[in-house]
Amino acid sequence: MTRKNKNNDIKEHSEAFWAVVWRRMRKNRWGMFGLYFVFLMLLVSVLSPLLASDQPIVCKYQGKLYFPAIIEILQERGTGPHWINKSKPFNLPQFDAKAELDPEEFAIWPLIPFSEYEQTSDFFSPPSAEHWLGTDELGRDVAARMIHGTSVSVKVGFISMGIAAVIGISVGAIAGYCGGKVDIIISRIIEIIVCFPVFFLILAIMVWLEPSITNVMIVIGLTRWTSIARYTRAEFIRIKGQDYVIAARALGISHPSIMFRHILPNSLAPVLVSITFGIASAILVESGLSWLGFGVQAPYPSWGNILRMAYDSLRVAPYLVYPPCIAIFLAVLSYNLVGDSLRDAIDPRLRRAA
Amino acid sequence: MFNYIIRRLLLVIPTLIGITLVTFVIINLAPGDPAQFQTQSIMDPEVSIRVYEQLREYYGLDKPIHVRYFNWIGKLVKLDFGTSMSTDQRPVIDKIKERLWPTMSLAILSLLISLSISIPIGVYSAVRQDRLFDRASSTILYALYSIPSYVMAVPLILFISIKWDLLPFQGMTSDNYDELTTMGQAADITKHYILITFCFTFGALAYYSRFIRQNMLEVLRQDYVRTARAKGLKESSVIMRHAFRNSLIPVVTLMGMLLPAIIGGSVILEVMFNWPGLGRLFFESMMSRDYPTIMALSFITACLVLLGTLLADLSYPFVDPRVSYD
Repeated sequence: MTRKNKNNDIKEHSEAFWAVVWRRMRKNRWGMFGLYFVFLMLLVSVLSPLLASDQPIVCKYQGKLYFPAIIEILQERGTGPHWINKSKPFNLPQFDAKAELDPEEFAIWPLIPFSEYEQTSDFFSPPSAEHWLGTDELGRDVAARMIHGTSVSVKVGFISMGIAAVIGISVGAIAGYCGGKVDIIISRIIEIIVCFPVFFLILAIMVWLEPSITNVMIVIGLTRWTSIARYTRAEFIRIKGQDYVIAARALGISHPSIMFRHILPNSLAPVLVSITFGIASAILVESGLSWLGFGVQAPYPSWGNILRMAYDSLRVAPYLVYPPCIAIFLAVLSYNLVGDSLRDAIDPRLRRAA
Repeated sequence: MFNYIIRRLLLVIPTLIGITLVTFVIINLAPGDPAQFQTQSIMDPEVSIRVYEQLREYYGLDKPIHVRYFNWIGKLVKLDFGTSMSTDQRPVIDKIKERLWPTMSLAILSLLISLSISIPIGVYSAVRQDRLFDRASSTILYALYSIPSYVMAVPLILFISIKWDLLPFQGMTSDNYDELTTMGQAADITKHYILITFCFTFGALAYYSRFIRQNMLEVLRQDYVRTARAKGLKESSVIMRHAFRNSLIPVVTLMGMLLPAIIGGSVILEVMFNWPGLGRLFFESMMSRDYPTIMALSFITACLVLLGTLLADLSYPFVDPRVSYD
C-alpha cells in the first residue's frame, strides 16, 4: 500500500460519518418531509418577490424588456421606503392597473400579483380567486403577506441560532476542555441564566431596545445558547480523554488548535441536533414577540403579526386565522422532525426508544 | 438526609446571588442614567420630575455602582421592589402578590393534569410498543407537541368561544360575577379556567407522554425487569412495581425544568385570554415601561424556578431509594 492510498483511506473514513448519517436520515420519511418543508421555506423566502409582488416578473414596455421582480430579489429588501424608492423606475402606472397592455407590450405577473404592503379596496374579503387567502383589515392580500413573512421566520431561525451556536459552542468548549474552576464557574453561570424563563428574559432585554427584527435576532441569540453550551461541554469532556487528543497534545499542538480542529468536528453531531430544535423555538419566540407587538413592526409582515391581526378581527374575519397558524405549526413541526431524525441517525441506539 | 438538604440549600446561595446580579445588570443596561432614560417617555414635565427624583432615590444613582448593588440587595431582602411607575403608583410587591395566584394555579393545574394523563398514556404505549394505540398516540402526541400553545389557542377561541359560544375566554370571571350565587360563581370561574388550562397543558402533556414512554422503554430493556419476569411475577407487577417506579426518576428532573417553560409561555396566553396573572402583568409593565415591576417580576420568577429545581432535587430520595446523599 502506497502512502497516497493510505491518506485516501483516512479521508474516506473521516467523511463516512456524515455519509452514514445522511443515508440513515434519508430512510426516515417524516424526517425527509421536515427537510423538504425547510427547503421549501428557504426557497419561498428567497424567491418571495417572484411569488408575490405588485410588479411583473418580466414586462415589455415601450419596446424594452424589464425584470422588476427579479431586480427586487437582488436588492436589499424589507427596508421600507428605501426599498420602494429603489424600485420606483419600474413602478409604472400601467402596471398598477394590472390590465392587459398593448398587443406588443406584455407583462408576466407573479403568482400573487400583490405586494405585501399594497392596500386594495376590499377590506376583509374572504378567500377568493383574486385573493387566495383573503384580505386583512387594510385590504392587504394575506397570501402575499404570508409569503413575505416567511423570510422573517427563516432569517430569525438561522441568524439567531447562528449567534447562539457561536456563543454556546465557544463557552461549552472552554468549559469542557479546561475543566476545573473554569468549568465550575461557567456551569454555574449557565445554571443561573436557565433560571430565567427565556421569554421573560428576552422581554426584559427588549424593553431597552427598539423592537425590530435585528434586535429580536440578537436577543434570541444571546439568550438561547445555554443548551448548546451544555451539549458541547458534555461532548468535550467525553472526547478530551481519547487517545487522539492525548496524542495531539503530546505532539505539542496548541490548545486552541486541539479544541477547534481535533475535538470540535467530532463533537458537532449532538450540538447540531440541539441547534435544529433551537431554530424551531426561535421561530416560536419571534412570532410570539411579534404577536405581542415587540417583534417585527406593523407594516412589515411576519407570521406573528399576521396572527395578531387575525386574532384582533376574529369575529369579522375568522378565515384569517388559518394561514399563520398552519404556517407556524408546519415550520415548528418540520424543524422538530428534522431534529429528531438527525438525532436518530446520529445515534441509532436511541431510535428504538424514541 | 438532613445533611443533604442543608448542603443543597447552601448551593442555592451562589445561584441566588447570580440571579440578583443578572437582574441588576438588566436594570443597568440602559444607556446613561436609568432614571432619566426611564422618565423621558413621560410627557407631563411635573410627573416626569417627580418620577425622576423617585427613581434616583430608589436606585441611589448618586452613589458608586457597588454601593448601589448592595443597597438594592438590602431592599430585595425586605421584598421592597419600589413603587410601580404606571398610573396607579402602588408598591410593586402588592401588584405581584395579587397576580401570583392566577398564574401559579394554572401552572399547578396544568402540571397535575398533564402528569395524571401522560403517565398512563406513556406507560401503556411503552408496554404495547408498536401496537395500534402506541402508533396512533405517538403520531397525535408528536403533532400536539409541535403546536405552539398560542397557535392552538386562536382557533380554539374562534370555534369554542365565538362560533359555538360554549366557553368564555376573557378574564377569570364574567361581568355579572358579583350577582351570582356561590355555586354560580364557582361554575363561572371553572368555565373561565377550562380553555386556558387546556392551552397551558396540552404541550406539556404531549412532551411528558413521549418522555415517559421513552424512559419506560429503556427501563423495560433492563436486566432487572427480565429477572422479575423470569422469576414468574405477574406482568402487572413487573410493569408497575419494577419498571414504572424506575422510569419516574428522570420525570422528576423534568418537572423542575418545566416550570420556566410554563411561566415563560404564560405571557402570550395570558394576554390572549386577558388572564390577570404574572404574564399579563409583565406585558402591561412593558407597555407602560414600568421598570421596577419588570425587574421584580424577572427576579421573582427566577426565584420560583430555582425553587422548582430545588424541590425536584430534594424529592429524588423519595422517588429513588437508591439515591441517598449521606
